Amino acid sequence: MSRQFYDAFADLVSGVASEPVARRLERPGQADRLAVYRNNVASSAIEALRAAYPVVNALTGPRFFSPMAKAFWRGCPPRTRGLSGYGDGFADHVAGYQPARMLPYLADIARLDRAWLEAHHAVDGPVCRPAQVAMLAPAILADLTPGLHPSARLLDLSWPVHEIWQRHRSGRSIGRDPGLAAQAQSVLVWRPYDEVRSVVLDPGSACFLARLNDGKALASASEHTLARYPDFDPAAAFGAALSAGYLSGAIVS
Amino acid sequence: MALPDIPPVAGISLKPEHFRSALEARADGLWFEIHPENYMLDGGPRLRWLDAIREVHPLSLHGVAMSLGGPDRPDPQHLANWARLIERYEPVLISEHLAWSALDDVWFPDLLPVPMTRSALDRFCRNVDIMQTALGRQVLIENPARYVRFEGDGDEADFLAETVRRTGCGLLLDVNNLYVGSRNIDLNVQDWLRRIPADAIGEIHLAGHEVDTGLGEPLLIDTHGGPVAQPVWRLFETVIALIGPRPTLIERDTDLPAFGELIAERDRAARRLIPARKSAVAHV
Ligand SMILES: [Fe+2]
Repeated sequence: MSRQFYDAFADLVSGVASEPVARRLERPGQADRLAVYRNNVASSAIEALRAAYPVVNALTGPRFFSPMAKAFWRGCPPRTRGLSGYGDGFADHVAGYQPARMLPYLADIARLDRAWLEAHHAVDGPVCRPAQVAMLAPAILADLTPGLHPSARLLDLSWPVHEIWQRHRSGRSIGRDPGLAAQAQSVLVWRPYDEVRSVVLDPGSACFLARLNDGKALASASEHTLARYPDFDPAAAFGAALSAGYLSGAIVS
Repeated sequence: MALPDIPPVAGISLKPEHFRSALEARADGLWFEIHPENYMLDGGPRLRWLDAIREVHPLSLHGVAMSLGGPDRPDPQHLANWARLIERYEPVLISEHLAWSALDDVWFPDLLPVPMTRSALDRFCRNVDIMQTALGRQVLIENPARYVRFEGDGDEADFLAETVRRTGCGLLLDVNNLYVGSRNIDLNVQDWLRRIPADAIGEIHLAGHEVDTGLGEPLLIDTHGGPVAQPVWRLFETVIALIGPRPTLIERDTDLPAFGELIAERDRAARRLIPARKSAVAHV
């Protein structure tokens, strides 16, 4: 009996049916008031998505964003308590959202927004400092397995959207339609300390970092990458990673 | 369980947009309340900001997702997340709602109404008890903002009073919710206040509401999106004249104004608590 009340209410706030709850009202004439609950649930989810995907919202405009977010919420309501991490999978939803097909790069923007959020709230960890490895003998260095910092997110995008995304993130808008041509782009998003950073990687560096991220040693990651990208410069890539601070400092020393 | 030892001073809701101002603020007795769900994170600057603010100001954790009024028991994972935050931030107050928000594995981000029936009361008390036992702390339970009555609904004040009696929980009296209920479903405020065990009230909330006139009869909606309304201030004065001063929070969740605006509202609440504090001392 009382479980039915909750099931009926879940249907109400999910937008499935309001009649079963309305029938339980003391004053049936007040059924319209139930919209307060239905609206609150949907708009909390939509606003959480808007906050988590600010550049998607900026590029589409809030009026376009809201129904797109609502459609995502219907299929993927929150399954954990709280909304801080809500919205995983939104990029795939954007990619398949018919009204957004004029903006084919929008899903990649969503991937960057999501990577920013994940990096921002990721577990804290030490960054590998150049001084940590400067004194190591070459043979030891070759066997080192410096994974990526725990906040790091490596993205393989289909559109070169990093600059547009970056400009929006730093408050410099560039208008609605940047007119991009499809082209692969690898981006690393990470948070060395308190601020999330991002960098575009050349294909060799992206391949190299992906190997390190899989726990491979420096030498093995270099060999693997050189076999695919003969122009790859392992020393330069390693140096760039050290100075930018996207390798994990939690390595054997 | 005894009420927590926090003086009857005024605080405000804390949002990340105000972290720096909150850290630098030095108003007398100022405290902050957060929604713990927003801090159930693996790491990052948000947690460290709160570490720093907590060094300077007392904190209150005000949960919105335990779904104590739901059909299921509290989620063990969510309880564990709560316990971690209590250990880290040592809040002076912790609170939750007479509401539900989870069914099976779906979470509805709102405070949904609990039928005021005997069986719902039994489940609610069981869940409050589970939460208090798991956290080893007294929890303050907030009265809901109500928009409709359901058939078979009993008396709200009796429901809350019985929960206090059975579980030893405290109460968080949201004056705006009480006012909204008096307008929307004719809750009798005087009667409500008579039936509520005043000694159990450990905190007061003041918040803004909106009046929706689109449905014929005006409906007051508890939005936390604007300043506290005049009649709510008046009801607040009635309440503290009746029960004495309590830690009082200016609750703001949406349309966040400048920090100074919230502090001004908080100062207004703080000023109303001072005469009550003096007379409370005089009575001793
Ligand atoms: Fe409240």
